[in-house]
Amino acid sequence: MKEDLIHVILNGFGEAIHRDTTIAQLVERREEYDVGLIVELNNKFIFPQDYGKTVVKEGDKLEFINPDFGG
Amino acid sequence: MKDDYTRYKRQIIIPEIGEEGQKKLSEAKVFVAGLGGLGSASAYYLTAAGVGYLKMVDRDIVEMTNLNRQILHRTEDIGMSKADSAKKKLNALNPSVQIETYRDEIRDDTVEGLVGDCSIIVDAMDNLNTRRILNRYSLKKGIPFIYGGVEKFNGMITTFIPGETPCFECIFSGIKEIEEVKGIIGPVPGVIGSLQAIEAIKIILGLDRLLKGRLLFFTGLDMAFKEIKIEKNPHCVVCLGRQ
Repeated sequence: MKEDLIHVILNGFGEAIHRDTTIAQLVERREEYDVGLIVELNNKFIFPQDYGKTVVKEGDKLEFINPDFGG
Repeated sequence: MKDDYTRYKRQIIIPEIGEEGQKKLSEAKVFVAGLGGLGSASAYYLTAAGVGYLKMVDRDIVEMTNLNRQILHRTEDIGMSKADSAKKKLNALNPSVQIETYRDEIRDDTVEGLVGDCSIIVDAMDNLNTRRILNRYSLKKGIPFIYGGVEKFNGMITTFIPGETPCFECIFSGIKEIEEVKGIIGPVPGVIGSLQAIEAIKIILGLDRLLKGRLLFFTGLDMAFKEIKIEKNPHCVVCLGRQ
């Protein structure tokens, strides 16, 4: 049976992910999770407390950004 | 004064500034936190623009490794405090501006005395913890906090206005900083520090269309700017009670 996948743009690259994937699940699979990152979904900042309840949809554009704190 | 008019003529002729705007600039008091890459650019442009009073703080001395990006400092300044080095250059650039620089550390117990009666904070720090201190102070005093940060080929900037916008903690709570030397190419703090100076000037002039609720992200490798909409975080433990 064909997997139920959707297509999103993650950090500028097309990616197929499982339907009903949350941002929390996407963040957890990234190494940056340990050091902290910010998440942008369709040009809007997503609060960390909303990662678990934000389900990614077909065609969404996501950016995982490591904030800059150098001066 | 005729000399001053000549100095600022190219900005006075801008309709949004004019002589009235130049007077506002000359009466403004701005605090620049840090005199590294970001502070070099913002302090230089704020001095050149004729901001009346600039107070600046940095705890460090000039080192050789600073000189690829910290354009206020020169090879001959190595070993001198950044505060003294910056004061020398900025006084030479524009003697009409009152420049006060201090070699000191911004902490919870020093921030009030250091910021004093300045009405804008320009963030030119190189670490997360001091930014958290400045953010709390900005909220306490109700004064704008212009955040800027850089790393590698990238930079970020937004303007936090207490009561109107999210605060620094709304966006960056839970972020941990890695204790490591950060790579940076010189022009990037030049870009971000210059944008911070523009924001400070606009605030002084009373111009709208600030970077309120907008986090501007610059990436030099793609030569692109991206804007991210940011909102107050209802779970923010720092600003929620004050907004």
